[in-house]
Amino acid sequence: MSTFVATGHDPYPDRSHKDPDESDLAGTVNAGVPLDPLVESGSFIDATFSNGETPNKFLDRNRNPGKYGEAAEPKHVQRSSDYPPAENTNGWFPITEAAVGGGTESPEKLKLPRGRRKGSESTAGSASSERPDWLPSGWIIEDRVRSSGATAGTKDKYYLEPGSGRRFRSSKEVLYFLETGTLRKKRKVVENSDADVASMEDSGSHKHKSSATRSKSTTLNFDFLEVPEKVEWIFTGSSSACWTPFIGDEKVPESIWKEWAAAFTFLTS
Amino acid sequence: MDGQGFADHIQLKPSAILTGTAKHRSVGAPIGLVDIGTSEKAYLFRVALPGVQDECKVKCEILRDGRVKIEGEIAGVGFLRDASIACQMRSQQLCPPEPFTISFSLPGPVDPRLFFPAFRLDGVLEVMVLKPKVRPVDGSFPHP
Repeated sequence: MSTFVATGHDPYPDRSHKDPDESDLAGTVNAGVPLDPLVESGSFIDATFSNGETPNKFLDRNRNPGKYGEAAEPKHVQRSSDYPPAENTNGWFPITEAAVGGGTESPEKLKLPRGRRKGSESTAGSASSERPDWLPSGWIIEDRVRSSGATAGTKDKYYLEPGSGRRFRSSKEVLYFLETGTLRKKRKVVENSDADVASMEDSGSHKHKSSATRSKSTTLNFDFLEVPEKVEWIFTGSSSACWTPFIGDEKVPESIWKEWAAAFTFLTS
Repeated sequence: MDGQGFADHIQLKPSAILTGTAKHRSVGAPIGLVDIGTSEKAYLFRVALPGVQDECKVKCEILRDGRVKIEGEIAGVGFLRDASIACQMRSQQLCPPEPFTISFSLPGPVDPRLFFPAFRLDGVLEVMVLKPKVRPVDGSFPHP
């Protein structure tokens, strides 16, 4: 989730706030931004309070009152009725305005020239998305809105593996990964964020091996390759574990066939 | 005339009344009848083992190639097991108390470790056994 950070001077004074996906974005983010703990909703900050000087981040708005007015959709402006637009030009604005327009930009984005950033920006974290049943706990759902290109405004949902940060595009990919521990196919790298770099390294043999052995030791010691030629299951009674496996003439240790049972449960659940 | 009708006429009552599927049973003991089912991941088989109990030394041998052999011994008459009563059987339609084996092949290879049996109280042994898993590239097996 991108939270508003006061980054000082807005590097994009000329940005059009009429961009349709931009206003969509503003709506999404605004809903997710927590209220300022220090300032009650509906209260206002006087931008001219210190030495009669307007804080930097609001300078552009004051210079371009028209654009500012357009960006501020009425539904985002609290107490707009007793708040005439004329006052806006004097530097008064509702506190929720911070989340609209320039405030929606993540700091990262602000640093990058707008034209070079081809990807999308994350607008919501796990809190705002509904969790599907099949997604194990700990995984993060990320909603991203494409900010440029012909499909700008389209929402993309990603599932992030906890720990590695590996990103998956669909439930199919996640479930395949959960079952096999491998990625479904050579995934095209969407963008060169850290998470994708990590997943690229993972698909290289060395690093992937180490992660595989780690996950095996913490979960199941079931080797699918080592299928025994024959197993004899002997019915020993009506207790809960009434079938005991033997390989050759040797009884299989309970710890081993508990693993078998776990593997069976995993594969059939 | 249905079974209930027979039962009401004591004098007409036969030694056993069979209805439903039992009426169409094949000749001989029902032990060893086998049903085999398949699914995407597993094979299922059910074997009729009437008269088989926990002391019957039932053993199910299962091979990687899908061959299954069930061995055991039919229990004798329960009343006579611990008593010294001599009883001569006048008719013998159920399996006599003797060892048996039932052998059959599943349609394909299996992983004999991934074997899940359930011996039902009605004498039907049901087993699900999984097909060998298609190998993932590195054999890792993350838990869900």
